Amino acid sequence: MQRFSSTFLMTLSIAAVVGWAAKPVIGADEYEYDQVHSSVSFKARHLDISWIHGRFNDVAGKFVLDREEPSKSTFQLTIQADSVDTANKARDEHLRQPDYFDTKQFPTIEFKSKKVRPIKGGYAVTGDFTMHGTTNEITLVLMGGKEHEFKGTKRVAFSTELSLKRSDYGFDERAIGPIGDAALIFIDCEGVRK
Amino acid sequence: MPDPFLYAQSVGATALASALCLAAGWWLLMVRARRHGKFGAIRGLAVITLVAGWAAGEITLAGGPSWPPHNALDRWVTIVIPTAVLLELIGAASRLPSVVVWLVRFGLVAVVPRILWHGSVYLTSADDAWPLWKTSMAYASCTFLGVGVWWLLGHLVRRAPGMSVPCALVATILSAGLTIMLAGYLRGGAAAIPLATALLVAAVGTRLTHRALKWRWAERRQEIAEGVPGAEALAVESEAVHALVGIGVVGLFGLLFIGHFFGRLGAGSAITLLLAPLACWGSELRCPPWPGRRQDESVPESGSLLAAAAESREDDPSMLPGRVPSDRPAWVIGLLRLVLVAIPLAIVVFLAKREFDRELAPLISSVEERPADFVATGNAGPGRTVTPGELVDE
Repeated sequence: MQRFSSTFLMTLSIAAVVGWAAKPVIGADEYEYDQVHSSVSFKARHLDISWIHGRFNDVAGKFVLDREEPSKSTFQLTIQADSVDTANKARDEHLRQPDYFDTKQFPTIEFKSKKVRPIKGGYAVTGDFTMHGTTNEITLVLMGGKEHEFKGTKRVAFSTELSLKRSDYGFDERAIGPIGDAALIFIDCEGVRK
Repeated sequence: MPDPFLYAQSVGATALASALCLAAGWWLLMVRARRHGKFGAIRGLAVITLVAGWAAGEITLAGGPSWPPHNALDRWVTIVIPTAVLLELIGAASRLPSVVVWLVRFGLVAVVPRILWHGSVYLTSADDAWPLWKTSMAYASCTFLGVGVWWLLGHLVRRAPGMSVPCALVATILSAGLTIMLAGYLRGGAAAIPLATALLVAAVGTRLTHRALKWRWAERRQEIAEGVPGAEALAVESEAVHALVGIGVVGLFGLLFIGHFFGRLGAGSAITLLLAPLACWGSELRCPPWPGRRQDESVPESGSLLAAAAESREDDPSMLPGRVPSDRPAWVIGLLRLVLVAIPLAIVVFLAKREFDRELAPLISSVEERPADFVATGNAGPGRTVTPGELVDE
């Protein structure tokens, strides 16, 4: 009986420790990407004379924001590459093909933060950006972070812009020609606290 | 954008590498045939010629293989084709029973879908777009089609070896590449170019080498105590063509698989293209005798060789398994096969072109058409406002 009690107590202790470790950081808010009020859009050069604009319609993500210890904050974003939308159905289908996004092979574009540090007016978030099966470390400058509470729902928003070279992510160089190597990505993200 | 100059370079590199390989192998084979009266190495030479040309063309086209493979096309280049080549080389070098060879061939076709699907949504789909039953059905169907086409073409080659089956396969591979390109996957379609070129050069080269060897053997056969039977020589050609056709079928199967599951090649087009070479079987249908030719003058497609064998009366052409003598000239059979294969190919390419014109061509041509649009609508061009006065003047 005594042996059973000690085992039971030990199990409870381990469970308590594990449970504590799994809990979100105290003082941090966990937010979920609000698809309705957010957007991930891009533009790329066409024939080096104009810009093609597009967006990704299916995006998910979450971020944990710790105002007191920003380094404990985390940001994560998952874009469904299949949801690319340039307002032209034929072009969207073309962009899904292996010459471009190869969405059957690489269905998602992902960002996972590794390091967060506060800067004036926002955060500098360094993390792994995976696109087209290739992962590179990038730093996003997230501006904003203003909070708003409406009907008991707390919201926070960030914006960022970044420039990527498609050739850095394994895109076919011969397919790059007419559309240009560099692409500008604009992320306007509104998070809803869980 | 398609780059015809690059494709031409790829064709040139393929032809050159294949020709060099063939020339070196031809010399060795002549020595061997003179000394031993052996033809068996032709099969190996055919395979090596094909792979050397294909590799040179592929490197010219894509700048070398990507390892580890990044996508399905990379796996086709670095795993599928080399495995098919290795299999045929082992088959050429060893004396394995044909049943074993066929089982290994079927095994290869059976694993190709798994290799090409690796890491894709078809195996890792989280949103149930591709549930297990659907993936399994697609897998089984593709494997069945691939095995069936290979077996039937192999059987046809054994009945009557010749140039028409490899040529039909070359036309099909090129049509598949063109169709995949028209569907919007340029790199996938372009991959067909070195394979088709290498297959054509290897098939022609094998034929010429075989003829040269046969003539050399014919010159010396009086000196050889135990002459090489003509039917054995015929079987050797059959095996060489069979090996080439095998690699061609695996290549075609892989390309269509990639074009359909990763590109926008429709299932109907993909299946039609895969089955198109089987139209060669149309020549095996029984027809009335060819006018002006007696039944005993029959010459099958590999006419010269069989004719030589028949002339010598030293061997029995029926030794070639399943061969059915035809009463039509060889060129008629070959032409008939190519015409039969060309019909479905032309239809598929026509439909693909029509769809391209409807959907993708406007994306390319819109810039070129813009000035004409401005003229047609009275607009003076980009960046300038047309005043009402100008319109009135017009």
